[in-house]
Amino acid sequence: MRRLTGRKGDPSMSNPSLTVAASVTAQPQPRTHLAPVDHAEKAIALQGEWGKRLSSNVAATAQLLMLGMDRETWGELLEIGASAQERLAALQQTWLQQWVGWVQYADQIKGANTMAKFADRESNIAAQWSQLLGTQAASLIGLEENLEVAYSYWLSEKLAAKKRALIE
Amino acid sequence: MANPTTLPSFKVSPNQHSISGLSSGAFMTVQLHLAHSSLFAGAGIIAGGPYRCVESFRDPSLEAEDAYTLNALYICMTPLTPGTGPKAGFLAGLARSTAAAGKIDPIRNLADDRLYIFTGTKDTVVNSPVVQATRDFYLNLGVPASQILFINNRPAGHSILTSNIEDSDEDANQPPYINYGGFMQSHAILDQIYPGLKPPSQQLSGELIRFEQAPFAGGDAASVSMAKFGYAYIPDAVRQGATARGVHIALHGCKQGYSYVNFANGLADIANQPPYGNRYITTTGYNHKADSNDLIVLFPQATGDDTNKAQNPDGCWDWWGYTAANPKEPDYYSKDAVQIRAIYNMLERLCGG
Repeated sequence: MRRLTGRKGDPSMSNPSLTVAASVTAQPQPRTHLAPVDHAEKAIALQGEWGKRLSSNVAATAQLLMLGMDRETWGELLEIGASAQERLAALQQTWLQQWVGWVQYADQIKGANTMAKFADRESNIAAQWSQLLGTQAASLIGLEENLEVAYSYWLSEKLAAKKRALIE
Repeated sequence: MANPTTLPSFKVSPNQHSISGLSSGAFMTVQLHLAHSSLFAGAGIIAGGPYRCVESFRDPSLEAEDAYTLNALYICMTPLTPGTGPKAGFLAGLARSTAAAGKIDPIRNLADDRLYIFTGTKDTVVNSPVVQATRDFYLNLGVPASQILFINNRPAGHSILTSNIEDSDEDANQPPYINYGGFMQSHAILDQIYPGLKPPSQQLSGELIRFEQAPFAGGDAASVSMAKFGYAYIPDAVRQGATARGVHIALHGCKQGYSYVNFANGLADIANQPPYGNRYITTTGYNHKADSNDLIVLFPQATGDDTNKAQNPDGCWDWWGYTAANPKEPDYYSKDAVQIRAIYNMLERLCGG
């Protein structure tokens, strides 16, 4: 689930009836070579965003601690932590099932009765291994991102409520 | 089915239309319902969140569009706790200010609408607290509780439920997101919106029309993530000149458009295209219920693309701003939003007879 980044800032969108031709012609031509610099730049940018979220969470946590933590606040915090733990356990259960499936597939190599079939099976085993690692890493990072956003959102709501209470 | 054609016009009762959808189609249902509430008698929302949900929390990223995506994923779909999910009161306020700015119809139009809102207890894609917030959102905007049928006790996964035994198990959370539940959820939706409807037809009498969507979407549907064709079911009596009770707009969810192709490792898997095709249009029961009740059903279609031109690989409707010209001021929720305007144009055409 992503966005139409290629059309970001396209002024033709201010008149959508003119959008089509303008936005299509405005598309940069795809490159025919890899650009490792783009990958590195994107990774650095995303890590930068992650770092910013982390540091603002640390600062907001300090503020909340200074304003005081009541029983309700601790309860909500524990609830977030417990939910994250629960989802991690569910992910681990899914991963286990996926690896069991992979081992079972790999174990059927004896059924490869031609060289072509053998090569195909070996290739599938490697591809499945790689795919499993990729999707599992993505889901783990997704959970980590979820926890980070949830905590940050919760902090901002809590701080706003505490500040309102102080003013009143 | 007729060959690709232009969408015809019929005689239709005014302002008695309705809309329903699943998942991204449900988020879009809420947006369309709010944007044009003067036209609608009610809405059906299966696994969808409240209006402008992705604008709940702007802080997660400096880039506006990244912040909206993070909101969509982690606040509006899978919040860790109800407290980290959407806040109905805040979003109702946002809806009121949007109406005050004239970007959507007045909120007072919602007061006499009837709603069907559903969340399955096994839904891992859009969690139940999000859908509960949708109910609270409508209550906050003045829809009486007696007009809302809220169901949150069935062990259903992320899906529209049907009585087709070949569909996935009820608790499944996988494409095509059409699960067997022992009943047609589309019928329950229409019965809630229009009390006293006749039972569904056993045999369809009418015609399923295929039409080009581009004329309704500013000339090029693909540029706004809409598919080449949309569909409409026209009951025979309406074709013969009877006045239709209204138009029901049925919005599919992600990975459910007729042209959806799975992306495997970033590439369109055209060699193994799953045979979903027009299942949402022909097997979810809308047409049989519409047939016996002189309702036209409009099935607009979104499409996917996993490039920087249109990073919407699952063919979802826009509820997080991916069609925005200016990501800092996304316009996916108002009468002027490109997809909302396209669907409105289709509705206007259908009712032009």
